[in-house]
Amino acid sequence: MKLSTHVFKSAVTSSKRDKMFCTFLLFVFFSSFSQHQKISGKITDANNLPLPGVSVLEKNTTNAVTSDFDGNFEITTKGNNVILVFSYVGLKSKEVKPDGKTINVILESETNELTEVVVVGYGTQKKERVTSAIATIKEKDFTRGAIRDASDLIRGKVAGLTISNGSGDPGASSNISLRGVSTLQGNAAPLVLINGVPGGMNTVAPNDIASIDILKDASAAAIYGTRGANGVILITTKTVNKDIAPTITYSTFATINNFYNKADFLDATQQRNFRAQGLRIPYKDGGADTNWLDQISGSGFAQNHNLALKGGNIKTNYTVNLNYIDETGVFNNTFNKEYRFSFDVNHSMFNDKLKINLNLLNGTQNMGLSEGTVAYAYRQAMIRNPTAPIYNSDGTYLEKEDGQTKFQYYNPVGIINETIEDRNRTWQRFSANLTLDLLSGWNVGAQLSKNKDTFLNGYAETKKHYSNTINLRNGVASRNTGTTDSDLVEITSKYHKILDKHEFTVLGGYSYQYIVNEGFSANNSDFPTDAFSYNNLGSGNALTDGLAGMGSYKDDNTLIGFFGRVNYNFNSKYDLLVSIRREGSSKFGANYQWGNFPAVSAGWSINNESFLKDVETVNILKLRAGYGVTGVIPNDPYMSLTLYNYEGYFYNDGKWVRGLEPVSNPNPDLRWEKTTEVNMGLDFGFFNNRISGSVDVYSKKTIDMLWRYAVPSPPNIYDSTIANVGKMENKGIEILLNTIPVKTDNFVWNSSMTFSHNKNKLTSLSNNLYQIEGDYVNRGNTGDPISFDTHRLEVGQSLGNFWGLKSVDITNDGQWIVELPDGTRKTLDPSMYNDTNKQYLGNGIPQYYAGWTNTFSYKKFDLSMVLTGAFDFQILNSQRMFYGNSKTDYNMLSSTDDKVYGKAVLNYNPTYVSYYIEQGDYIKIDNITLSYNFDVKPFKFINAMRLYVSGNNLATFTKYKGLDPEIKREDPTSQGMDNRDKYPSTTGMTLGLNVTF
Amino acid sequence: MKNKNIIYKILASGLLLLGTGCTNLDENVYDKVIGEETKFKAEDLASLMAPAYTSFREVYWGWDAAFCLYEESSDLIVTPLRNGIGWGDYYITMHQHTYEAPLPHAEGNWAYLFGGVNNVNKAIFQIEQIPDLENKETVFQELRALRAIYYYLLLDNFRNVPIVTKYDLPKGFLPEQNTGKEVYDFVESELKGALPYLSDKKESKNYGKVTTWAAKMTLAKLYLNAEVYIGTPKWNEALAQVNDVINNGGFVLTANYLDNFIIENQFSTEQIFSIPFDQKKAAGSYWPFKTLAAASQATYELAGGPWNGSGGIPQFIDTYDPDDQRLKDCWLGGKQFDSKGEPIMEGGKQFEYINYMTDVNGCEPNEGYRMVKYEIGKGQIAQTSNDVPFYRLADAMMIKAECLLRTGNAAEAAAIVTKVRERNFRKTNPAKATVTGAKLLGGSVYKYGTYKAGVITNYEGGADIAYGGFLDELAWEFVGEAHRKQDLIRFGVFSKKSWFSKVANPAGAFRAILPIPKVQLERNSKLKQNPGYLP
Repeated sequence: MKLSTHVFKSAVTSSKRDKMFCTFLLFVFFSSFSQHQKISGKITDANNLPLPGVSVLEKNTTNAVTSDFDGNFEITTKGNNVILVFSYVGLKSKEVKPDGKTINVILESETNELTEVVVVGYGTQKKERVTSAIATIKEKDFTRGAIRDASDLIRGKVAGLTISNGSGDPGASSNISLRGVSTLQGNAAPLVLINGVPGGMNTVAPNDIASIDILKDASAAAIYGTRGANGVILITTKTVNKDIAPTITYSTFATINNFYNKADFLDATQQRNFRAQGLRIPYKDGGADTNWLDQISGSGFAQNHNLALKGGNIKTNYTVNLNYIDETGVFNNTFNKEYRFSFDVNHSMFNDKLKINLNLLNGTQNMGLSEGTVAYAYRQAMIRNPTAPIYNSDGTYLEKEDGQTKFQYYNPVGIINETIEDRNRTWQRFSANLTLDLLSGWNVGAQLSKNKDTFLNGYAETKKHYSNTINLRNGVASRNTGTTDSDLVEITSKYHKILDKHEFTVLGGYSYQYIVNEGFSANNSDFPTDAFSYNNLGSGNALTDGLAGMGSYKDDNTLIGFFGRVNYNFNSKYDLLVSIRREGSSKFGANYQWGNFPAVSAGWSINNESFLKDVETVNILKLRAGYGVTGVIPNDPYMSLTLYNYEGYFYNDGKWVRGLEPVSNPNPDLRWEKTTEVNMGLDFGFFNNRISGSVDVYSKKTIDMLWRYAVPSPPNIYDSTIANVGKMENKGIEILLNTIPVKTDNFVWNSSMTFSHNKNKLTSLSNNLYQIEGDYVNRGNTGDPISFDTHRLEVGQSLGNFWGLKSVDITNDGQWIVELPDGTRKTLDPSMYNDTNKQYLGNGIPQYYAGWTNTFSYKKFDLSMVLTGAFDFQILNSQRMFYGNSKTDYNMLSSTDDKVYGKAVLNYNPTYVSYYIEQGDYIKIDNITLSYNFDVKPFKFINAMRLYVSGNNLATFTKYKGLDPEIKREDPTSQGMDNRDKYPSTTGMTLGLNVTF
Repeated sequence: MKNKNIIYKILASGLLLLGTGCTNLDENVYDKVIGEETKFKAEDLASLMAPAYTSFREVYWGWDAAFCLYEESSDLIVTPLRNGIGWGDYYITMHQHTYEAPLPHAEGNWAYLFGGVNNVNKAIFQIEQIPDLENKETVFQELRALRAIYYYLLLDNFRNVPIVTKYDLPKGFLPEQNTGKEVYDFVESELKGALPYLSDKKESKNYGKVTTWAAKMTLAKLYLNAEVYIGTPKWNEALAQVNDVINNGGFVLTANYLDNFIIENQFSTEQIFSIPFDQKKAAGSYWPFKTLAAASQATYELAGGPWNGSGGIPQFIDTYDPDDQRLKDCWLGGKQFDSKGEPIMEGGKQFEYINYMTDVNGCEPNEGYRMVKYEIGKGQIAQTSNDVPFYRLADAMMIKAECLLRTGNAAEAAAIVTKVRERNFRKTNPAKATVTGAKLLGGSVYKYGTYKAGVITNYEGGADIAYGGFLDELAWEFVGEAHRKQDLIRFGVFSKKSWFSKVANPAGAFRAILPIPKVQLERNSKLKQNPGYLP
C-alpha cells in the first residue's frame, strides 16, 4: 500500500508527524493478525454503584454489547490490539486497553464543561452552545450539611444570586434576589420552576434535586415573559432514564442549633452595679436574677431523613423520594416538620416515539409559633427587668412589676408559653409530560400540571396570656385557611436539523396558566375554657357580643403566552439565538393586555477557530452577547378596575347600614414592568479546564415600573393609584472562577470563587400624569417611640439610601451634635427633626457580594468550606438605637454607659441619628463539611457509604456591633434595617450519613 | 392503526385546548363590586350615601383629626413627650406653634375632609344614575349641605382650598385652588341653596343627618368667624341663624352637662347635629386610650393598657371655679382607685394624676389631669360608642351670647351665659352660676405666660384680652369639643399669648391657617402653599 504524501503536508510539527506515522504503521501491522478473545468485567460509577446499560464498543468496529443489571458485561473481541470504549450518557467515556480477561471499569461523571447539558427554558442545551448568562450547579457541587431547602444548596455558588436568610426561624425561607432589585411594587423574587412548573425553593426535597440552573440575563429569561425580569431558577429533579438495578439511598443528618450571637443587655448583677454607680435604672430591683432569653430558648435540634428508591430499565423506570424533616428552633415552641414525597416515572413506547413522564409530588408542613410572635417575645426578653421574677407568688406570670404597667411591656415567658400556633401547609402537584416524535428531529410535547397549595392555621392565646391578664380578652382564638389552585398547560413543538455545518433548533409553544386563590378566616374571644384552644371557635362569647370577626376571599388570574425560539449554530463556532414570547395577563388593564418579550443573543466559540484549535492550553474561550426584554407582573389581580366593597356602617333611620366604599382607583393602562437587558459574557477554560469560569457584565433598564402614586382626592376616588411610571437601572459585573490548584491521584483541591457587583439607580418616578414633587419619597420607619422615616427613595440615587440626621459629636452633657447639610454643626433638639436638616447617611444594600467554595479531597476524605461575604453597605442597628440609651424606660445594653465618640455618655432621648448606622461589611464561614467515604467492599449489600460532620454559620468577620450582619432583607425600599424584633440567626453542628444499597 | 389513533387523539385534544379560550383573559371578580359593571338601584341608596356621612367619623375622631388639631394646638390640652413612653414629636411643634408642612394634623384633616367631599360627589354621581328614585332632589340637596359643612371645616383650617363638586372628571384632572373668599361664598350659597329642601323635623330618621338646623348652625359658625375668614364681621347674620335654631328647633338643654357625653347619648334633647358612633359598628374615638395612663386601666377595666399621651395644661385647669361641676365632670385628677374602689398602687404609693407638668419635652407619666368628659364604659375596648354632639343647643346659645356681647348687648349675653352655667352650679353653689356683662367683657382669668415645672416663668396674664371673660366661658363649656383653636383665633389670642411651653409669637400669626399638606402639594401641582410657610 502506498502512503500519499499530502498527509504529511499539514502544519503539524515533525515530532507529531513521527508519532502519527508510527501509530499508523503499528495499526497496519497488528491489523494483519486476527485474534478472538472473551473479555468480561463489571462497570461501576464513582460511588461504586453498578452501571447497567453501558455501551461497550470495540474501537473501530461495530462490535458492541451493553452491560447488564449488575453492571456486568462480556464481549468477544474480534480485532487485535483491542481497545474497548465504555460510554454512557452523562458519564465520561473511557477507553481501556484490556490487559487481561477480566477488567473492572469505573466511569466518572462528565466534568468536561463542553458537553455538559444546561437546562434552559423549555428544553436543554449543550453548555458549549449557550449564548446567554446561565449558571448551572449540579448535584456534585451542592453544599452539604444542614440543608433546609434548595437555596441552601447553592448559597455563595452563583455570582449575582443573593441568598440571604438572617433568621433562625426553622420555618423561615431565604430571601433571593438576582442582579439587584429591579422592581419596587412587584414581586422581586426570581421565578422558580420545578421541572417547568412554578413552585418555590422548598417545594421539593433537596435530596431529590439533580441540578439547579439559573437564567440570569434577559436573553435567557425572555422566554418567560412577564415573570422573567428577576431571573429564573430552574430546578430539575432526579430521574433515571436508563437501565438501573433497584437501589435505595438513605440519607440522614442531625443538627444542633444555638444562637449565633447574643445581645449584651444588662443582667441582674450589672443592673445592680449600674444602680450603685448612681445611673438611672428604670426598674426597681425585683430581687430575682432572671435570664429572660434562657427562659424562652434553648438548643434547637433538627433531624432529616431521606429515602430514595430508583429502578427500572431504559423503557420504564421510576424514582421515589421520601423526605422527613423535624426541626425544633432555638426558641421554645418553634418547630418545623415537613414530609415530602415524590414519585417520578418515565415510560417510553412505540419504538421510543412516545415518551411519557409522570411526576407526583406531595408535601406537608407543620410549624409552631410564627416568627412574628417570637420576634416580639425576643424584644420583651431583651428589655425586661433582669431582676424581676418570672412568676407571681400564685404562679401566674408577673406582668406588673411593683404595681406598674409599663407601655408595651409583657412577660416574654407568657408570650412564648401561652400562645398556641399550629400552622399547616400541604402542597400537591401532579404533572404529566408527553413527548411525541413525529418525524426525525421533530417532536411535539405537552405538559399538563395541576397544583394545589393549601394552608390551615390555628391560633390561640390562653387566659394566662397578657391578652387576658392585661387586655381582658379572656382567651383569644382564630383559624384561617386558604387554597391556591393553579393549572398549567404547555404545548411545545421542536424541530432539530443538521445540514452540513448548519445546526438548527426551532421551538414553538403555547402556555396557559390559571390560578385561583380562596380562603376563609374567623376569630373569637372570651372563651369559657382554655381547653379548646382554636378547636371550638363557636364557644367564645365575643361572637354573640358582636366582637368576633370572620372573612373570606376569592380571586383568580390567567396568564397566557405564545413563544418561539430559534437556535442556530454554524460549524460549532457561531451561535445565534432568537426568541419571543407574546404574553397576556388578566391582571393587566384593558388597554394593555398583551405584550411582546423578544430576545436575541449570539456566541462565538473562539476556541474552535483554526488559530486556537490546536492550542492545548485553551479548552474553552467563548464570547457571548445578548439582549432581551422581560417583565414583572403586578402582585395583585383586579388593580386595573374600580372596586367597591361593603365596608363601614352608616346610621340610617335607627339601623346600621353597610356602606359601599371604594377600594381602588381604576387604571385601565395598568401593565407589566418592562426590563431590557444587555449582557456580555466571556467563558473560559484553560489548562485542561484546571482554570475555568466566566465573566458577565450587564446593564438592565426597567421602565414602566409600578409605583403606588399618591393622587389628589378629589377627583380620585381613592388617594393612591398603582401606575406604570418609574424607571430604574441596574448595572453590574459577575465573575465566576473555578480552579483546580492541586490534582494528584490522592489529593484534589477544587476552588470556586464568585464575585458580583451591582449598581442601582432610580432614574424616574414621574410622567405627565403621575408626579412626585421633588422626585423623592421617604420610606421605612424606625418604629415607636422614635417614629422617624429611615430611608429616602430619590430619582438619581440608589435604592436603600438611609436618610436622617448626621451625628458627628456629642456635648459634654450628652446631647447630640449634628452636622447639617450645609456643614454647620448644631446641638440637636426636637425642633430640628425635619427634612431640611437631614441628609443621606449610607446605603443598606451591599454593593459587592462574594462567595468562595473550596473542596479538598484526600483519599476517602472530602473537606469543603463555603465562605460568603458582602461588602460596602451599612446597617441601622436599631437595638442600639432604642436600648443603648439610659433614657429608655426598659432594660438597656451594657454598652449604654460607654462614652459616645469617646467623650460623654449619651443623655438624649432615643432618636435616629447616623451614630447608629454601622458599617456592615462581612466575611462569613457559612459552611464547613468534612466527609468520609467508606470502603464498602466488605459489605455485600452496601454500595456506598458516606459519613460527614458539618457546621454552618460558624464565624463572621465584621465590624458590625449587632448580632449578625446578614440581616433580613424584605422591603426593597428600606433595606439595611436590623430590627429589634427578630428571630436571631443560629449556628449549627451537623452529623450526617448517606448509605446506598 | 392503533398508534395513529392515539397520536390523533392527543393532537386533537391539544388543538381543542388552543381553540377554546386560549386567549381569553377575562377577569372574574368574586368578592368585590366592580364599579364599571354595576347598575345601582333605589334600594342601594343608603349604601351609596353611607361613605358621604361616615367620613364625618374620621373628620372628628380620625388619627390627628379635628379633635387633636383644635384642642392640642390650644391652651387647653397638650401631648408632651412622656418620659420613657414616647409621644412629643410633632405634638410638640403643634403645641409650640412651630409647625411647617409636613404636619400630620394638617395631612390628616385635609385627607379626612376631602374624603368627605369626594364621597359626597361620588354619591351624587352614583345616585344620579339610579332610575326612578323618588325625592332624588331632596337627597342631592342634603348631600350638598353635608359637603358644605366639610367645606366650612376646610375653610376654617386651610382657607385656600380647591372647590370640587363633580366626580366624573377627566383622567389626570387637577383641581384649581380657590381663595378663602371664594370658599366662604361657596359654603354660604350652598347652604342657603339647600336649606329649603332640608327637613326641620326632629325625628329618628333625621338623627345624624344634615337637617335645617345643622345647616343653620354651620351658617352661624361661618358668620361668627366671618371677620377672620373674609375681614368683615357678620354678628347680626350669625345671630339671626342661631335665633331661629333656639326659637324654632325645639332643642332643650339637658339637665346635666354630662348627659351630652354619656355612651348612650343619642337623642339627647340638646343635640342639633350628631356624629353617630358605635363601639362595634362605627368605631372611632381612641381618646380614653390616648390620654389615660396605664394605671387607669384598673379604674375603667379597660381592655388593654392605655397609651398615656395627652394631658390638661395646668394653667387652664387652674382657671376653673372649684364649684364649677364641669371641672370634675371633665377632668380626672388626684389619687386613683380601681373599679372596686381600692387604691391603685404603683411603686409603693398610690397613683395620682397631678395638676403639674414639667415641660413639653419631658413629662412624667402621672403629670397633667386627663380629659374624661366622654363617658368611659367599663370593659371599654379601644373604641367608644359615645356619639359626638357636633352642634348642640349650648353652642347655639353661646353664639347668640357672643353676638349680643360684641354688638353692645352685654346684659342679655350674660343672661344667656348664666342659663348655660346654671346646671353646673346647681348642686354646689347656684349663686355662682350668674355672670355679669362686665365680667364677660373683661379680661380672661387664664394666667398666660410660659410655664415650666409649675412656675410661670414669663407672666402675661389674660387681663388685656377683649371679651376675655367670655372666652373663658367658651373653654369651660366646650373643652374637648374641637372648638378651641377657632375661638382663640377669633379672640386674637392664638399667636399673641404664651402658655405652657408655647411662646407668644405675633409674627407667627399666619399659623392660624394650617399649611397645605406637603403630600397634597406633591400630588397637585396647582396648589400653592399658604402664606408664611416655608415652600
